Amino acid sequence: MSDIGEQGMELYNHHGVLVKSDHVTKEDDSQCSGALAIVKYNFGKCIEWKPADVSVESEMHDQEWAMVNMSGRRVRTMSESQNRPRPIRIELSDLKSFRITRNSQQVALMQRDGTTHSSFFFQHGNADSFVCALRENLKVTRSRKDKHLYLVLDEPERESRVLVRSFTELDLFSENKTDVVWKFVRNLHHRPYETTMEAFSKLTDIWLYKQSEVRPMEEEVAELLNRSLTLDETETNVAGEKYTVINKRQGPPVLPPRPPCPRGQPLNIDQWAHCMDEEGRVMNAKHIKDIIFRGGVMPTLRYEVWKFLLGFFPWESTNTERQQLRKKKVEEYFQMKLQWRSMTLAQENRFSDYRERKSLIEKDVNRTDRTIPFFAGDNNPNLQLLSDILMTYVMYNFDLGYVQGMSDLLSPILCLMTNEVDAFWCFVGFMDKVCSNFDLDQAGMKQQLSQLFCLLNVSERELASYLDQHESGNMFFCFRWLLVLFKREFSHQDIMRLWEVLWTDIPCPNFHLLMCVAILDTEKHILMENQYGFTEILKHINDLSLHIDLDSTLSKAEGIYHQLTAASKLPNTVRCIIGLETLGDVASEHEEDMATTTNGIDLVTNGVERQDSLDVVTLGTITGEVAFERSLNLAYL
Amino acid sequence: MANRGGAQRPNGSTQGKICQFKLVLLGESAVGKSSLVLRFVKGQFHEYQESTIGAAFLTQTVCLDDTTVKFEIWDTAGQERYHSLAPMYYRGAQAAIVVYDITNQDTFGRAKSWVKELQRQASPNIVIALSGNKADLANKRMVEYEEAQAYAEENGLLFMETSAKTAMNVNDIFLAIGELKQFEILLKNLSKENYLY
Repeated sequence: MSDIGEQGMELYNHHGVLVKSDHVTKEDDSQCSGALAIVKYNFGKCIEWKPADVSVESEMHDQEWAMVNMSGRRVRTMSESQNRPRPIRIELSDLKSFRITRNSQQVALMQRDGTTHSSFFFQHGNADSFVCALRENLKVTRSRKDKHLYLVLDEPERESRVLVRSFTELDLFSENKTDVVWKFVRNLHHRPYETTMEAFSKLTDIWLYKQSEVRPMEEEVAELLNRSLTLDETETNVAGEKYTVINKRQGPPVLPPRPPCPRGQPLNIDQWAHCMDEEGRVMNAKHIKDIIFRGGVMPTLRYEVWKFLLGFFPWESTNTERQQLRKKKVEEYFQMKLQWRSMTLAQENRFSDYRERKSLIEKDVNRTDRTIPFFAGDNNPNLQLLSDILMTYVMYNFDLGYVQGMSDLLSPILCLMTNEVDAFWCFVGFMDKVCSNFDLDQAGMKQQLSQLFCLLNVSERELASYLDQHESGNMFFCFRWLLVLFKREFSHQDIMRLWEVLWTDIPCPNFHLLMCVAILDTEKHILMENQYGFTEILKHINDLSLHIDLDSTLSKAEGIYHQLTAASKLPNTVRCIIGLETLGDVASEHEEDMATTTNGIDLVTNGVERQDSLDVVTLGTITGEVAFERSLNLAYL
Repeated sequence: MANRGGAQRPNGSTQGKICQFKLVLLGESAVGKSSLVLRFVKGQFHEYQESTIGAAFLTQTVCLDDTTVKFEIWDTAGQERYHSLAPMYYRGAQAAIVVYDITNQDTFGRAKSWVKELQRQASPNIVIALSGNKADLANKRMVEYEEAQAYAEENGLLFMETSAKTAMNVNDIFLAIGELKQFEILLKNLSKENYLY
C-alpha cells in the first residue's frame, strides 16, 4: 500500500506537541515531540502529527542501536527498531469527538470507529488554537454533560433532520419546521408532563386512525422521545419534585452524592516493623490491610508483604513458623517440578492432555511482557523461570492446567520475587482468588459480567440503559479487564499497586467490579454522546490501555462503594455482590424490578427488537436466592 | 506513512462506491492472527506480539479501482478455552481468514475444524480465506503447500501462504477478499437486490 502521494496545504500547525508511542514499553513512559497540523488535500482535510526532526532523530536512533550492539547485550530486532512513534493521520471526516483536559494542554481525539488517540500534549501554550482551527473546519458542539468533551456534528443538523423527518411524516404539528421540533424538545424539558401528553394524544390519534401508514415510524419516534427524555431525566423538575414522565412501578435506589476518598501513603518499613510482635506475628492485620488499601505497599517491602497478602504466609505465624513453612514449601515445589521434569519423551507421547498444556505454555511464555526489562531480549533466562513455574502449576492443579491469561498473572509476581519457589506459592495464592475466571464453561466470567451490569444499573443507570440498548448489556467489552484483573490496562508499576490494593479485600468483595464501574463512569459521556455501538465501545475500551489514571480511579471506586452502602432501597442482588447483608421484604419487592431491568421507556424503544433478536438467558443464581434473568445477548458466552 | 496509508482516493472524486464489510480472524493460538492484522492495518510487526485476550477490533480502508473498501476486522483469542466466544464474532461476518502456522501440523488440523464450523454456522455466503502463516520459517515447514492448496480447492477457499514478519502476501490476502466481496456486491446490485446492510 502506498502513501497518499499528493502535497497538501497546511491550514494549521502547532509545534511541540508530545505523543506517546502507541506501543511504548510498559516501563518507558517517554513521549515524542512533534508537530500537529491540519492539512487540506484534494480528498479531504486531515489532522496530522509528525515527530519532530525525523532525519536527525533517526540518525541518533541508529547510533544508539549501534552502541547497544557493540556492547553485545542485545540484538536489534524489527520490533525494537519501531519503538519511535509513527506519524499519525486522521481524516477530519473520521473524527467523531475530542476531549480537552489538563488545563487545555491535552487533547484526545476519538474516531468514528472507536479508535482513540488519547495523548496529544501541548508543551507550549495550550490546545485553544487547535480547537479554534478544528471549529473552523468542522461543526462542533460542546457536550452538555461533560464540559471537556466536544462532539463533531458530521452533517449539519443531522439529528434534527431525523427528528424533523419523523415528525413531518407523522404530521404531528401543523407547522413542519425544525424549530417546532426543537420547541417540542425544549418544552419537554420544562413541562414534560403536558408536552408529552400533548404529543402522545397526537400519536394516539394517528395510531388509531392512520395505523397502516405510521407503523414504520413508531420505533424511531419512540427512540427520539426516549433520548430527549433520558437526557435530562434528573434535571426535570416540576414544582421542585423529581419527575419522570414514564414511571416505573417503583423508583430505582437513590444514591447519595459521591464522597471524596483521598488516597494515602504506601505502607512503610516503620509501620510494618511496628505491627509485629517479638516473634514476628503481625498483630493487627486489619490495620495493615487498611493502610495497603489506601496507599499500597512501598516497593522495597513488597517482597515480604505480598507473601502475606497472597496467603503464602499466615498473618499470625511467627518467624520460626514461617521458616519451617517455607522449607516445607520448597520441598513440595521441587517434588512437583520433578514430576514433569522426569517425564520421558515416550511418556509424553502417550499423554496428550499433558502435551497440550505444555504447548500452550510454550506459546505464551515467549510473548509475555517481553517489553519489560525482566523478560526482554532473546534467550532471557527469566523466561525459563516463567515456564517452569507454569509447568509446575500444571502438576499442582492438572484439571485447571494452563489457560491463556495465567502467564499475565504470574509475570509481575515473578518479577518481584525473582525466585521460583516464592513466586510459585504466591501465584498459587493469586490463582485461588481468581481461578473461576478460567472455568471451562466461562461460568465465572459470565457471573462477573452480569454482576458488573447489575452494579452499573444502580450506580450509572443511564449508561447501563444505553449499553443495553446498544448490544452491550452483556458487558463483554470488559472481558479483558476482568480476566487478568486489569493487567493489560496498567503499567507494570501501576498493576503491582492495583493488585495489592485488591488483595486486601477492602472495603468489600468484588471491589474490582467497582473499579470497572469507576472507569466506565469516567468514559460514559464519550461512549454515549458519540453514540458508540458494540464495536466502537469495545474498541474505545481496548484503547484505554495504559491511559487510565490509577489513583483517581481507585478513589472513585471507593466513593461509589460508599454511595451504594448509603443508598436507600438497594436491591439484595447488589447488596450481595458487595458483601452487605441482605434485607427482608422491602428490598425484595424491588428485586423484581431489578430482575426485569427494563423500565417503561425501554419497552417502548426496544419492544420490537427484543422479540426477534434477544433471548432470555438464565445466568444462574447470583444471590443464592433469586435467579437473575436478563434479556441479554449472552447466548454465546 | 503506514497508518491509513491504504486510503488512497481518486483525486477530488467523492462519488466513488463504498463497500464495507465485517471480517473475522480465526485459528489456533499463536499462529499469527494479531500479527497479520497489525501488519495489514499499521504496517508493523512485533516479534513477541502478546496474546489476544477477549477480542480486538480494527478497521482499515483501502481503495480498489474506484471503490473504497472498508474492512472491519475482528481479531479473536485462539485458545480452545475461549472457543465458545467465537460465534459472537463470526456471526454476521461476511468474510473470515482462518490462519494456521506452516511449522505446526496441529494448527492446520485446527484450521480445518474452523472452516467446517464456519461452513456450518456462519452466514451462508461468507468468503473464507485460508492463510498458512509464518512462511518465512520455511526451513521448519511441517505443512506442505500442496496439501493446504488441495484442501483449499476442495472447500472453495481462497488460499495463500503469508508472513506477517516479512509482509509477504499479507495485503494480498486481505485485498483478494476485498475484491471478491466487491464483485459479489456488484453482482447483487446488478440483480437489483438490496444487499446493503
